[in-house]
Amino acid sequence: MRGHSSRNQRVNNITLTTIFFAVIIVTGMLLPRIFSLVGTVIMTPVHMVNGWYETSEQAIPVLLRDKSELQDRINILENELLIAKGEDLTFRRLKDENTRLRALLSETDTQRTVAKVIARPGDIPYDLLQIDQGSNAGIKENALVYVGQDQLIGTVFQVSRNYSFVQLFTTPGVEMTGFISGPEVVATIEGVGGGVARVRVPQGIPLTIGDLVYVPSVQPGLFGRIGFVANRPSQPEQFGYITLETPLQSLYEVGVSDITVPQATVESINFGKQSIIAERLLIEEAHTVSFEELLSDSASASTTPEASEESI
Amino acid sequence: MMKFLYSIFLLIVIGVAMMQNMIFLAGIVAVIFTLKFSSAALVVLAIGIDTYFGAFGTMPYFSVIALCWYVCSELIRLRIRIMD
Repeated sequence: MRGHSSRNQRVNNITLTTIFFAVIIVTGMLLPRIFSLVGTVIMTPVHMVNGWYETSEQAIPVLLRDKSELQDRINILENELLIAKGEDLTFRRLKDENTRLRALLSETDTQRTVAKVIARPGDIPYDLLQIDQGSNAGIKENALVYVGQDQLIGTVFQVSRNYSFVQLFTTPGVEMTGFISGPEVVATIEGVGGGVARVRVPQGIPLTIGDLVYVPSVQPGLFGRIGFVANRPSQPEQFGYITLETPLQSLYEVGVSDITVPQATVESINFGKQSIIAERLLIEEAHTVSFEELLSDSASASTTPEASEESI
Repeated sequence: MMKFLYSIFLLIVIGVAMMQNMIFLAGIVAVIFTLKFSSAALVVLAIGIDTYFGAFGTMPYFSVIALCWYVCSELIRLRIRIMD
């Protein structure tokens, strides 16, 4: 009997406390401003501890903050790793698909000659490399030179029997057409020198660091990534600077393709274009004259009905 | 006295954990607090946190959850005592 009354008393206490807090909560919802003021005063100690944790430079809060930040960083990196794994899978799938499609088009891989770099800028003028293979190994002038499988770095510009010189595309004065993969635009790649090339595009094109730059006239023709963007809003153009993925001093071996690319200057191309245009115009003029002559002949012949019928 | 300071320490840990959005930690400490002391103090703390975040303008979820937690924990405690 006593136990029962004690239990009932406790239940009553719980009920009363619950009702009390419920009334406070409802009052708070009805009078949020007054409650906010009272709550701010009540929460001052907690707020002070929170502020100490967030801003203090003492050992314990710094340790706790650093641990928390490191944990966040680990989570972010783990997510990035997962994404990278997925991208790697996509890359491999696309590569396989590319190889298969190339095989369908009967495009076979080109032969390459491996050559070791025996002299670099510093020993020889900048933007030149000396390699240990020459004409005896089948190296030809204007042959494309690669680092790794894809990255195009320059062409062979002088060949001896046992060595050759490679001119990098970053040589000042070298220009070629490139395709920037991020904003999907075609731009001229200009050699700046010192292992650096640049692309110039008009303002408004979203050029970003990391965009891949291809040389579309050769396959595979990856030139590099944009490593720095110089963009002054007052200027009409912006520049994307490209450096080699592998530093020149770290180059040990290169691959020399059997594909050659004829070198041409702007003047020679213009001369070639002009000569083609002139030739075509002469031919068209000749065609025009003969057609007019034909017309005049037909007009003179059409004076008699018989002749006109014949001409028809 | 030590018990009182311990309870204050746990309440501050719960409050800071809630402010730092470490709900899991706050939950664990709240369970420990409930086992050691009465969970009525948790309702007061939850009301304080909701007030601090201005939740009374809309819906004070922490307060409501803490109140439910108080009712459940006290009823369970009552049943355990009766069985003892």
